[in-house]
Amino acid sequence: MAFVVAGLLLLTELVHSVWLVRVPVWGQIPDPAIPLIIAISFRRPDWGPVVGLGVGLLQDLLFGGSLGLFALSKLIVGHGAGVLGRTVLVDQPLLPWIVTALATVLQQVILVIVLAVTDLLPVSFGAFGQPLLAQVGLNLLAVWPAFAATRLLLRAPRAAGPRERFHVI
Amino acid sequence: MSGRRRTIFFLVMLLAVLVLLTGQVRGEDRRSLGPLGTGVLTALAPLQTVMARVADSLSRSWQLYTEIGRLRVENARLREEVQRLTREVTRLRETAQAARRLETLLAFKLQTPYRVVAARVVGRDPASWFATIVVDRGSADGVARNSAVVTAEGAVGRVIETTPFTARVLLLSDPRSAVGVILQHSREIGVVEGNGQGDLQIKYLSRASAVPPGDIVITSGQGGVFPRGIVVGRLQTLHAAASGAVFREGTVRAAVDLGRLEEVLILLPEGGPRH
Repeated sequence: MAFVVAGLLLLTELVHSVWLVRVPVWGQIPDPAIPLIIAISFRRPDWGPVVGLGVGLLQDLLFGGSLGLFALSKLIVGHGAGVLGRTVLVDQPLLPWIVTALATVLQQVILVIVLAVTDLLPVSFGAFGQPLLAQVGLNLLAVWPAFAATRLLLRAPRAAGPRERFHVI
Repeated sequence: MSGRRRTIFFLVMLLAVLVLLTGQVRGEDRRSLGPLGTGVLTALAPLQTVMARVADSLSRSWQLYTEIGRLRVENARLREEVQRLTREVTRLRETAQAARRLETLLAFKLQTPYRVVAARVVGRDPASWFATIVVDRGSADGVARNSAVVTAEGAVGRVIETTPFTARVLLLSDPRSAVGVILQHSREIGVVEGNGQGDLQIKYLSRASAVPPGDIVITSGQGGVFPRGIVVGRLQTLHAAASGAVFREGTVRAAVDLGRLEEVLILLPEGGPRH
């Protein structure tokens, strides 16, 4: 099953890097990997950081930036989603949308901080205005297909036993 | 995996990414793929190529589709423009033809020693067996009954009734019309009458006359309507005299196309208003 998920992630990134980049909306390109990482992390919390790191590295390879830039942000997103998947009732209907929006903002913050610290690109706070809102909106469009695909591929995790639940808390 | 191990695992990965990122940033070109990255990109390149071709194909199809829509709109606009311009050309052509006709009439008017008034044909006799037209000049303009009506090409007919602002003209082709004529070269005298059809009839030519077809027929000035010398037409045929007949007859092709009159000149009687 892990290979199928890896294939889905690979296909998603190819679609992202070849097709979606051709049709920017409001100057932004949707990043379907964010809701997909979150969906996988909700179902398999332990996979979150690995999936995030792998997808981030793939994006770094495909998008021509410095290696590690997207890997860092996606790793943190995957880890955070995994933590949520273990501690929060992930079947709440609005949670995927809220987490995707927050993850998009978090990724932007991380990217801006890294770019500012490393002086890779000039950074302006305009990146947090309308572009970020557009990016959030576009990523939210990918929530439903990402979670639907994940539901098809991955069974729901076993209910946590009392001991494990106690341990997490 | 326990919580502590998970945390350690995450931190290790985080550290690795930070090291990778730091190494990249410090590098000269700020991007060094290494053999692994190069291998991944090499492996993905065929997939990217295929997907790019699909995207290109779809993009071209979409452009073609939208181009067809634009072309349809453009085509409709151009058709409308062509129709408008065709109407405009027709109107201008009509105006040019009218100008040429009026110019010819004006030249004739300047040459003729008679006082004339130009008139526009505003009505025709709907009955096929009579040949009359109505013009937009009447007694208020000096037009009187039996005023001769001509064009630059030749005789048209005579006025048979007037109102203050219109006049009815009896054309040469009307069966009721008769005009005294002379054949220009042979000097034979005759009378041209209408027969309600295309050509006119010439009557009362002497039996001994030997007139070649094509001789020009002009008004003789007798009868008091047409002045002498206005072209009526050209002799078309001359019938052989019947046994015992005193005169010969023939057909004359009218100089004026009486079915397509649009503007005419009316020769005013002496003493009428000047135009």
